Amino acid sequence: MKHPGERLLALWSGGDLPAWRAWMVKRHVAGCEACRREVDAYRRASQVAREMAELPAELAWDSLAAEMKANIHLGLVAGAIAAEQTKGRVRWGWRAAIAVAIFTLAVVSGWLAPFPLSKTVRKPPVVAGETALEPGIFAEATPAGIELKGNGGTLAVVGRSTTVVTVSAKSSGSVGARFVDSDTGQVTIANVYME
Amino acid sequence: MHITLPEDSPVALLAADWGESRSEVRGGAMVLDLHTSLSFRNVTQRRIRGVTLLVLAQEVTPGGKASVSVPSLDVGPGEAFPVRIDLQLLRPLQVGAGPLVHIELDGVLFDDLGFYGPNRLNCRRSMTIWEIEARRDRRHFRSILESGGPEALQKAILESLARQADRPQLNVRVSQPGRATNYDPGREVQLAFLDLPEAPVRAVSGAARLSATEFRAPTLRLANRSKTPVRFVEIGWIFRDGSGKEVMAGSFPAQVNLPPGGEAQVAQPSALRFSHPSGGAVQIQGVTGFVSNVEFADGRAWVPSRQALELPQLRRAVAPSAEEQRLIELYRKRGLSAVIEQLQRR
Repeated sequence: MKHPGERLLALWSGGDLPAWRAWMVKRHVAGCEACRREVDAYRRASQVAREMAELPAELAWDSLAAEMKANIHLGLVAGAIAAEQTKGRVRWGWRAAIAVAIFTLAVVSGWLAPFPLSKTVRKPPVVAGETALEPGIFAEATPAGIELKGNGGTLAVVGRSTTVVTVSAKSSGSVGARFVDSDTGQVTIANVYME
Repeated sequence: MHITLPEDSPVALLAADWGESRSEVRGGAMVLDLHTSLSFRNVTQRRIRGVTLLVLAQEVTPGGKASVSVPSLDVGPGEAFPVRIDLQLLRPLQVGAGPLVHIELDGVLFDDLGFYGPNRLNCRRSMTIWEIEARRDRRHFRSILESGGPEALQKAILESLARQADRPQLNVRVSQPGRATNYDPGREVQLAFLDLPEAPVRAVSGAARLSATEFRAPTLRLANRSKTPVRFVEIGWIFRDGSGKEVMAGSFPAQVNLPPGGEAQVAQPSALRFSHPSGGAVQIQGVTGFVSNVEFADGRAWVPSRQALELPQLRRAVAPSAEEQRLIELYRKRGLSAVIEQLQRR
């Protein structure tokens, strides 16, 4: 018995195959225990991904899903074209299938990569040096520029690559540095806001 | 990175060179090292005097929001000008998809002091004040040139250079309210003010907590002695250390609602903390305030005159304006003739 392959099973589990191919895969899965287990695993993984509580609330699921489907369909079209070009030499277009699989994998990995795997990774925003900066963070204006400091960490916000000539600190919570471009003579003022 | 300009923006983006910009993961955050040169074109029929860009990696925590302003411009219709961005910003590692940095136009100032932009950072006021200072200082150097010739101008520029070299500086840390910054609670002091008779606003009285290294929670009483309502006042602070040296190391910007002849009290709970750039201890002995700029309710602004800045205390402590700095740099790089050409041009 010829199994449909991971790519087709994955697409079928998400309802992303054209009707005629979906019917073929469905027919096979109905009578194949191994492929059914494979499909169940895809469906569980898909469900877990959707239920991940720490995903940003503002995430546009619909548009991401649409974009992913569009990419998969693009891959299928590309595969079809590649299959057409190799007709006669390779009957089923396996090279195209591999290309589509790699493309799909890249899209899925790229899609999932920015998301954290646990709440502990996502939680806390700011770090300087190697230490988390929480309430003790402050900005300091020095003759060399503006530095962000806290918990032993320092980040040169302004002045690392420019020669600062004047710095200023406002008690409303911003610090500024003024520098002159040595080539053009143009004055630039950078402000960093703490509020 | 993403640059946003409004549809009716007076400037158009010509080119963006991201150069050596890169990002680096440190602990749970991402450090964005931005070295960018943007090129804009003035697409209006007016001359542009200043531009401010908002550079945003994230809005919530410190270190994620900055601005880059270019004052003292003179960009005619159709002309191009560069804006350099050299900043390091912080951003949480995981904030979803999208650009790492957003750059937005916050404002453009024209030569008639007209303004365009969302003004999220109150850049209109800053750019107006820089422009008024620039006009004051160009007028000052031009009058020296006209009355005393190139030799007198050169002497004035050299004096300015020497003053800048001698101006003492301190490291100043801004701490937000509610955060313990010093175990020494300091003492309550009554503040002294340098009264500039020409200033439309007078600081009547003030108090703050002062220790050897920290100036905290100033409270001021301000009086409007002009005939125009005032909506913003900035007080500059000149600190005197143990050796008697005076340095301007911070300011108190205050939004006010001061009718003509009216008074108002303003307070700020934050603290300025000082350290010596060389790492040595600082012993702050006293502090003097002065009105460094004022914005009227109609959008006009006031800055001290050159005569006022010649007062010994201000002359020693106050930094030169952006325009004076530009002219001095021009002298250093291209000589006196380049400065004269600039003064005669605008």
